[in-house]
Amino acid sequence: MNIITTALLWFTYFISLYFAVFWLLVFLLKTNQPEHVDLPLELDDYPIVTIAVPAYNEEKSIGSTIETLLSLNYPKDKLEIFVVNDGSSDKTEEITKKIIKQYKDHNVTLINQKNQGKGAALNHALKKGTGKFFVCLDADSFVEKDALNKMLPYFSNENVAAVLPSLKVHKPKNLLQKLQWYEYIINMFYKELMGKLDCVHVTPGPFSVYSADILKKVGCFDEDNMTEDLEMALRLQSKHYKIIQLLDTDVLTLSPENIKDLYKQRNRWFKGATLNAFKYRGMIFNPTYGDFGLIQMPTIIFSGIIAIIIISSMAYYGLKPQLAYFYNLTFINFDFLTLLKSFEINLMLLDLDYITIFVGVVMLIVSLIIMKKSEVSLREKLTKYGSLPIVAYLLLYFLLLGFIWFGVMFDIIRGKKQRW
Amino acid sequence: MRKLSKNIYIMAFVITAGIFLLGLFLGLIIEEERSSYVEEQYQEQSIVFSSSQLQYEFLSMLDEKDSCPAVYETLYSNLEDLEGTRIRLEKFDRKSTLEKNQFELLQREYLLAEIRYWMLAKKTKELCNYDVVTILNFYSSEEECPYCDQQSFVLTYLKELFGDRLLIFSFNSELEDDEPMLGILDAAYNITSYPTLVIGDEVYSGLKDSEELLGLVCANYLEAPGCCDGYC
Repeated sequence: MNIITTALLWFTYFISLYFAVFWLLVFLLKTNQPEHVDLPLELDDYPIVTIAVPAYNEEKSIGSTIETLLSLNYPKDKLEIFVVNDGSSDKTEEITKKIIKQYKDHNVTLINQKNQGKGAALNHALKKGTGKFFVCLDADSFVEKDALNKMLPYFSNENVAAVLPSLKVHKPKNLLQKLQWYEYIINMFYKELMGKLDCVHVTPGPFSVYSADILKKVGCFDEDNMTEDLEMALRLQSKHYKIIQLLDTDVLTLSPENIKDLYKQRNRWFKGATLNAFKYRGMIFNPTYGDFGLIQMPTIIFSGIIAIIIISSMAYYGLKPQLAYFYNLTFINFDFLTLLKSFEINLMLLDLDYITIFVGVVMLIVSLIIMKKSEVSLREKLTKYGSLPIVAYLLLYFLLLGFIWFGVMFDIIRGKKQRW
Repeated sequence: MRKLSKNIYIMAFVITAGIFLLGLFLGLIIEEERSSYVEEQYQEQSIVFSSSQLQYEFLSMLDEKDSCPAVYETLYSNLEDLEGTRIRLEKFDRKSTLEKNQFELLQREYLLAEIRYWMLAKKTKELCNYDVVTILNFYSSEEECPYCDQQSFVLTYLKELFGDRLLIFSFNSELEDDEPMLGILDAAYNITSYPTLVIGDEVYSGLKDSEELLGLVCANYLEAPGCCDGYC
């Protein structure tokens, strides 16, 4: 192996470990909590909240999504709910109309638009709404009753543009969904740490609460963006607004149940992250944007590259000896029997590849610490689904994500256009 | 101007660098252990070689042919031992990242041992009139010789088939610049490319698969073992 590859590989290991150590230190040293003022007790003083539910062919879940909003522990007359039907071809419209009839005393409105995408749907509701706060809820998510009451107090600081709940996977059934359940928990823990350094880079679709004034001031959602939630967060960061991540307010969301759907979802996320980070590249390593410019922007840009380098090196060192052995076998006509007869285990401790073992042990220790800490912060038990999913998560999930990154890079290099 | 958590950046760097240094230190210790292990083995094998040599001299002095099987048996098993350590040493050398030249002297010592055994085996073979075939395997690094690995693999396989009726001696040509003895051997057999095998007195260049080699080896026996007729 030549010196450049070795150097690149060690540099990558170093950077990855550096990121992990960095955020662990943030966890240990930054114990400040975001400030908040409790809501007034008088119901009349509750601010009006506009909630947008963008829906494109969501006949299966739109009903339960609206109902979860109607059961929010918040004064009815202070909530305005807009279901934006984004040119659905299924029964989304009928179902919504039925619910509106059923709950006449609630303020639910249906907006029909021709298929223009989620960004446009959100803007539509934002313009029609009169709320001081604007909430987006994807049609595949469920909210806890007290969500708004817990979240709104954090807007006491005028500079706060968005408050985010902790997203969890709703009732994971198969292994893939259980893996995502772990992933979400660890991600939320990580995002809360990001929040401590004002580094949150995405305000996800399920129940992110925004200050409506600030949204309008920065120019509403980007309608031509495939990840408008990520773009909005980057824009808010570029204007120095605060985004707060909470860990004590749960929003449950449905997760892809097969690899193909997961691939589609992540491909969109990862590609959106890379392209939007490129759009805001002026912030990269720019100290004007504080920690966000110095550590978060580079992370968004380089995490894909790091994933690809690590996966490639693992594939190379893991597969090359096996392929070489297979190739060797072709020269002895695959006479396994003779080899088996003389096979003896002649291994000693010194034969082991200590570099691989060392890197592996360090990574494992760091991962276990992070998992343990997230478990406590998110009020969950990681062993809820037995130990198999944990082992699979630790050993396999990053490989899966790495392969998705390969797909993303391939698409970007090929210049494949996706609907923005 | 937004907040910059300078102290965390610096602390994270120090800790990360510390973990890397720890790894480096661990690596140094393990490589040191590896080289002292091979050293120890070498010392043991030197004594064993002296014993084999003495046994041969005893044989030739007294013309005591009855002891031939016992002497050959020791020689053969000592050679197996030597090969085991030599192969391990080569792996250590390939894996070593910290001190590239640490194993070079040891490799030279093993090369010389290999040559000594070859000569002793030749003399013993003649004295005892043994029907044993000898293969010399001249190989080099992966960059210089992409098929040497395959050739060594096939030879190991052949060794399993013939057992003590086939002796294989491997010479690493990467050591050519430092070890004049290897140059003398190369010149004697006219070695210009790798892999090159010397079977009996014939020189064969290029990769030979198991079938080809089986034919070449079998042609060298006075009385071919069962394997040559397909009874392996």
